[in-house]
Amino acid sequence: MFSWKEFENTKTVLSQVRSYQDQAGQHHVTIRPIDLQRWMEVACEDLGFLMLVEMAGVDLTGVPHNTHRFELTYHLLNMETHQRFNIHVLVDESEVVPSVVNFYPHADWLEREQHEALGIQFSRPLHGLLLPHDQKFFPLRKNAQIKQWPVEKELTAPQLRHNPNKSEAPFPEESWQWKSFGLFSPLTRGDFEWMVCFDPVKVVDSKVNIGFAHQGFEKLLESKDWLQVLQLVEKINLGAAPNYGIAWSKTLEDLLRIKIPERAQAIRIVALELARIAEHLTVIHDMTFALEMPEHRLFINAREKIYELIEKYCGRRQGLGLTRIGGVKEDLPHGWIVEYQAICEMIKKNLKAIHRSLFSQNKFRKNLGAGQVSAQTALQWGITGPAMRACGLNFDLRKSQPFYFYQDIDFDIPVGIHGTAYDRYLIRLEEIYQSFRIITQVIDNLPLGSIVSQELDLDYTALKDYLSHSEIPRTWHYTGLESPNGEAGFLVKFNDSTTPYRVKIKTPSFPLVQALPSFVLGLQEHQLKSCLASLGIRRFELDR
Amino acid sequence: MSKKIIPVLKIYCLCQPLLMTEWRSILSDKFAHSLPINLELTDDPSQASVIAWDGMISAKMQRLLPEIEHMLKGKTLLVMGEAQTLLKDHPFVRIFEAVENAPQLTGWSVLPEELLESLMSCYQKSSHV
Repeated sequence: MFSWKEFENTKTVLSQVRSYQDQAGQHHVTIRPIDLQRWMEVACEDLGFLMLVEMAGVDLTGVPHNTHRFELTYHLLNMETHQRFNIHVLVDESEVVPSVVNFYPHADWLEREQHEALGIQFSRPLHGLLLPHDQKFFPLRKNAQIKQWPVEKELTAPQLRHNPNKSEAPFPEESWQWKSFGLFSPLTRGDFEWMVCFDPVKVVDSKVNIGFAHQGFEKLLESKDWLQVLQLVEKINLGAAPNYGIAWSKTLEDLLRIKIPERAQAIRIVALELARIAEHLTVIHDMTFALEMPEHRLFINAREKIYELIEKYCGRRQGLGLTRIGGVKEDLPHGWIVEYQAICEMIKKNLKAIHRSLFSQNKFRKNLGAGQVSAQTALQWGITGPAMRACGLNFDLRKSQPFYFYQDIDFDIPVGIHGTAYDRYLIRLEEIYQSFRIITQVIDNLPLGSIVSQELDLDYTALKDYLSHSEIPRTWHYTGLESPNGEAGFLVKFNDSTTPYRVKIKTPSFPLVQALPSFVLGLQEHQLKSCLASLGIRRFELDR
Repeated sequence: MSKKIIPVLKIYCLCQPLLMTEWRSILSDKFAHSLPINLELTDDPSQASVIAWDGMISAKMQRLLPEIEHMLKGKTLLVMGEAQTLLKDHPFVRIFEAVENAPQLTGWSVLPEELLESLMSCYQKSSHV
């Protein structure tokens, strides 16, 4: 098992500028681009950091005592020991950063994103991901002046090789054909453009083009204060709004070392689990809707009941605005627990009956049972959540890095075998039951006391004033939570204590779409829709 | 005895990342029967009579504007006008200038009741054209 003590010995062998350990126990090393490949090799192959969770670049112009123009941060995860490791690379404008796609294929899109946002050069040709090709504005640079964007050309199908010798047996690729699913096709539904290559029956390759809803959300957050950011981030995925709100509050609470009251922790757990149930029901509804099965209405009816519960608690259907820094806005209202118990029993009973009905239909099992994804693929592409657990990997932040008092709650993490859409369906269904189990335990042992930390029990202006005078560490900090579709969180850096200097949003949908070609390999055209629905891709999470 | 035929209003949601979860709610038993028409969400814009759109044009979406304008011909457009005020003068996006009298949704967080109300005005508009 890897230990940080051994790591201290290892790092003396490698050249490095400086290293430190933050208050969350995460290790950070700061290096120069020339050492990056060697460090990645050690981290990936020797130290077991097999997953690149996130990568963020920042323009250091205006930061006191900065010696270089940019800083790139690679946030790595060791899934066995649950440790996290940050490699920071200081880069000058003229320098070329070695690409790390040979260690982490997921880095492909992440490098493209940093290249187009900041103009950082990597050691391989890169073209735009979220913005039109050939744009020269580099929007995340601090002095960026954005004028008119160039108009992007249409995605073209790659050229197929032709049979060099017609007299021989048919060359397999000769029968391949590329099919284009535009942004408004019934398959992609405005999420992305997709070119899929069929053999000609099954999918053999595909290419995804994203960025159609790119609003520059991360850039927008750099001009907002902490409390404004809290309002905005909840809208990244409206279906799981409490996740992003709580993740942002937790980021600040961790940085300022604020301990929130136990009752607030309990209510946050209840909110997170209710949002998980609602989002899983939405995804299962989408799967059955894609298969044109009449049962889809039943899942939406069940979700409405959950939304009613959330609305009764905080006044907003999806749980918007229930979080505040230092706790939660409202306590559970009188009679809420009794109502929850009745709805919980009703939904559990209904779900069992619906599952029996779906399971008895060949159409359901057959359509969802194709297209296996291996655990190795999930790791390579940085996939988390039900899509990863369906491949057989037992990893859930609620168990591996428990926050609040998840470690005291008795619940199981369902794990699949084959990584098919059917496995993902079963995992989501089981997670609904487990979430009910968690909420029931929490409300049975609901702690007494206040719902906001005493020092932060202030009105909006006073709270803003308090936060602006707080001493906040100016180092990178990552906070992630287990959202319904996977790990969601923020990699942040502060320069002063009023606005974030850089916010990188970690969303589960981004790696899922990058890995889409692996998920649909071997599927037939009529199976694509339900497979896509089972992944729970959220467009706003994708386009930042 | 003649059987009453209930008209069907088919809706295509064009790129609405914010509201996507809420559109499904109108299919639930709680809301589906609250209007004198049947509502159906469709994935095929050619079949829809109402196109619901947030009206946001990103840098990459510029290329698709002619396609969108073609899609809107003969349909009723439902836009999220007020919700986009945050993005006014935003350097990354511009807002589609909706046709006059297009039914509008208000606010960032739209309730299913508000969706139904605006869909009813879409239905009235489309049935009078």
